[in-house]
Amino acid sequence: MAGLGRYVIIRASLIVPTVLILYTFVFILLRVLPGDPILAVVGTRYIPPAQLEEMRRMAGLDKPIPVQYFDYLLGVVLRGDFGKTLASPVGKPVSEYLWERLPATVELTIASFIVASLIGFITGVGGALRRSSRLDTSIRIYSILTYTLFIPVLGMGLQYFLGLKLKLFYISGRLSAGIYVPRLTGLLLLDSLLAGDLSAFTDALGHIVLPSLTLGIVLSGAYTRLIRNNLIEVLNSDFIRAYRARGVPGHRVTIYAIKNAFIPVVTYMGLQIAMLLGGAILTETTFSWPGLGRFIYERIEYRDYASIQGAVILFAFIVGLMNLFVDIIYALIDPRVKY
Amino acid sequence: MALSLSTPILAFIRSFPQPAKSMLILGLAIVVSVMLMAILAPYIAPHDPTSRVYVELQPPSWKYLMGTNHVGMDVFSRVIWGSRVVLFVVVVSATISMAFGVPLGLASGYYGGPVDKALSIVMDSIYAFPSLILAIAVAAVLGPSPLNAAISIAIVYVPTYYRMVRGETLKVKQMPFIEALIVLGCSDATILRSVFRNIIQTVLVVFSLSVADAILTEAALSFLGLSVTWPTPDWGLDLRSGQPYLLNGYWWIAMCPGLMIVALSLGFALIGEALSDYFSIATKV
Repeated sequence: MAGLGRYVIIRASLIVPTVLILYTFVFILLRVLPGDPILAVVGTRYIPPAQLEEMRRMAGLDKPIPVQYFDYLLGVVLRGDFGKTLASPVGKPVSEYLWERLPATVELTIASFIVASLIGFITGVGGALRRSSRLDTSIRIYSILTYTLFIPVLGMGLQYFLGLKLKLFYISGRLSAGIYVPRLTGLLLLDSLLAGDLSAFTDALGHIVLPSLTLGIVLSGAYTRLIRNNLIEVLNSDFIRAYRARGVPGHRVTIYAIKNAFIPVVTYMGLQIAMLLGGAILTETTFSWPGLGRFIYERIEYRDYASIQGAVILFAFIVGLMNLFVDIIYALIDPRVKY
Repeated sequence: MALSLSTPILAFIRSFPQPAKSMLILGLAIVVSVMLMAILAPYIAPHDPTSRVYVELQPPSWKYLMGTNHVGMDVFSRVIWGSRVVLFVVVVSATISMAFGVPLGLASGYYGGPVDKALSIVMDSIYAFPSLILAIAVAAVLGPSPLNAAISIAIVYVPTYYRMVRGETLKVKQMPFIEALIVLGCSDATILRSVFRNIIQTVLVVFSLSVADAILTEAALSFLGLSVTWPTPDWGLDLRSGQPYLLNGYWWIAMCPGLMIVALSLGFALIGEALSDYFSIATKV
């Protein structure tokens, strides 16, 4: 286990440059690009120059750029301080919003991930076991189609048919008005269960079905393809032939093959995180889901670039952390990884 | 005369094995018809896309093929004109990201060294990050306009071209004919040109697949209000503004432009799939 501890530390130190590069990239981009964040907020209103200077000073934009770079970075790392909002309500710490909104996004991404892997598993294994059949062809078409399904289009389609016409699920929001769940983790499904409130739980469940189905379906195609191709490769490999030659029953061989086909899928999960978070913005906007993605959308309307920068940098940290997490799982399940 | 010119193209398409051939034909049909739609918009749109032509919220009928929207504009005419914005943004962004990504990838892969290492790390980091979020951040600072949307998309797709071209260059570099060129004393420019000619198939596949993706990013930016402004006809924007009406049963305002986004993206994805089958290039998953 000591070996694993060291492996985790080495891996963890490797995400530092990745996150740092992203931070630097976003930082430079937001300052090099034409457009003044203060003037963007002000718009066409007249504001006396002295007040503009005051706003600039409050946002820390009056300092030299290298100072701004390190101030912001240290603020984030040491104090979890992502600066202050530039638009109404002016001067509220961005971090307050971020922590308030983060759990909704986490809950949505976990639910979508479950949907995506379930669909991906069933279709991927199905395609591989019935290779080159009509079923396999339709599964291939499905995976290309999911690649091009625009999230809001699928989301609105589901809202229309399952929500509006069949009235099976709620079409927007996270919880019905008048229902209150005490906040522990911020994950409503978990908090309502912990509070023993079953009606709140079913209400929250009725809200999360459509958004997680939408994001899950869009992401499932990549899993379908990956699981199918891996499984086909494993089924053709020597050790499977050896099992068969020794007379191991067919279904047991299939189970061994599936287990082995799963290892590369785990590495791919790290890359999926990026797609999941990117998709969350559109899903949350479509379903008025009060997460980080919708927060970015709301702040775009205010042209509040301090909030947008904060959310983007928080996303960078999450992507880095999730990649670390995936590396650790990978090391645990694949005996070939040395640590 | 036109026939003789199109013969090599037709022969190329015919040489595809099934099912790649059907995919290529379907993909080309979609892409070409959307292009024609954009070029011929003033002649084929039955109505002015930005003015009230009839009672609002009318369902599709023979006179108004896709119905009318919440202010009485003809949805069909808006869909036709909307193709212009998407194609403009996608063409401009793909050109910019190729102009940077391809030469950088070529030079980086061919020369190697510390610059190549540093550039790879930076590109990999950007690549690992959600491209849509990055595009939103850039577009939010630049301000909402189609050109700015194109620039934002261009920036986030540079690493896609860079990584693929660099990887292929590393492979081609090992081949004997490149060694022969070096021994013959050819200039770097000649050698790089020769490397490029050998990776052009990969560039073509990456181009089709990333354009399919860029269409969705473009639609996302305009859906989020970061591209054109109302009442300019645009698929992503119309999808957004039609949503409240869809939730009251008037599905056509949002769904008609929405399905066009999916169709156009599918067109490029099918072409990319078919080409990668044909050249047997393993694309990322």
